[in-house]
Amino acid sequence: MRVLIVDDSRLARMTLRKALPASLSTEVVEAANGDEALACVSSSQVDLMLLDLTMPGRDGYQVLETLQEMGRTPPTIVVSADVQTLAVARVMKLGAIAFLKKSLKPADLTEALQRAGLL
Amino acid sequence: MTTPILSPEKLDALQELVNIGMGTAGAALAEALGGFVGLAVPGIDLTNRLNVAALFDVGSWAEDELEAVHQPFFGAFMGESMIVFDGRVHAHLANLPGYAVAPGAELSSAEQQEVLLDLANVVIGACVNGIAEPLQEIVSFAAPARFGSRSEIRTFLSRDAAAWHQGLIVNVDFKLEARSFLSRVLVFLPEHSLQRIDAALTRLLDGLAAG
Repeated sequence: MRVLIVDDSRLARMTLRKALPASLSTEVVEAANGDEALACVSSSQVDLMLLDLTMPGRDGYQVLETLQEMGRTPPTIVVSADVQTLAVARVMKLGAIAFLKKSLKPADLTEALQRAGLL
Repeated sequence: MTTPILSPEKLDALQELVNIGMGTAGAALAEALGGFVGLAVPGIDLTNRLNVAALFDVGSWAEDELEAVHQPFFGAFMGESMIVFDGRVHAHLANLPGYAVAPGAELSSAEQQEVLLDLANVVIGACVNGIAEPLQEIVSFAAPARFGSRSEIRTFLSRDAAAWHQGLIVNVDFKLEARSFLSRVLVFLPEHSLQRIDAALTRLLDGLAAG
């Protein structure tokens, strides 16, 4: 499984990389902003995207909007500090399959993957 | 004692911790204010406290009288925090939907001051706890107090400035639907507190790298 982790913070990317289940055979690629994420999805296969919302430049919402327009949204779990109800509703409408609150525990990600049938 | 300067990697980590804390604050503010709160990426920097006052003399910060609330904290690491709102906040305090006693009713001046302290408490608490909790540190807070004028802010910033050597500057821009005002959170940490945070960040990053 090819996993794309999108977050402007290195700490967040490290945390997500470590939270991925060991039982999942993954190749992990990282993007530090929305543009890098779009370039990655456009040029290669992505089986799972872990996406932050609040990023400088193109934010997570804009990434989802663009991918939705392109019809290329990979299975996406949004991992964000912004836990307002409206934020959750908005990303689900834009095609995300799950929303997890930072800082997540590995068990949270495992459960979300299981619910989505990816594990 | 040498002034500790956090490495770029640790500043990035600290920014992410603040970001997580401000996300919690955003959700609490959305409930209290009755609307969606747009959050930007917090900007974070370390600077000398003596330089901070000048930050409020430029741009939109200089246009109107400011509102500010200050709140000390103590425990595993101690410090002082301050939240400053630009003058546009005055236009909103009287009729924030989440605080209205009746639809359309405006809050009195005294009630507006309570709202201001409440907002400050939520944001400062989220910001400082956002740093402390992931580092497995516990901090407590003293009661918040309001500064009524720009000169009071200046006096506060110049007080004991030598002892409060480094200021952690957190810029947070809140936007509440059609309303908007700037809010800047400042966290002042003495050297020994910064050293404790530095050590805790080392543990956090080493733990992640070891995995």
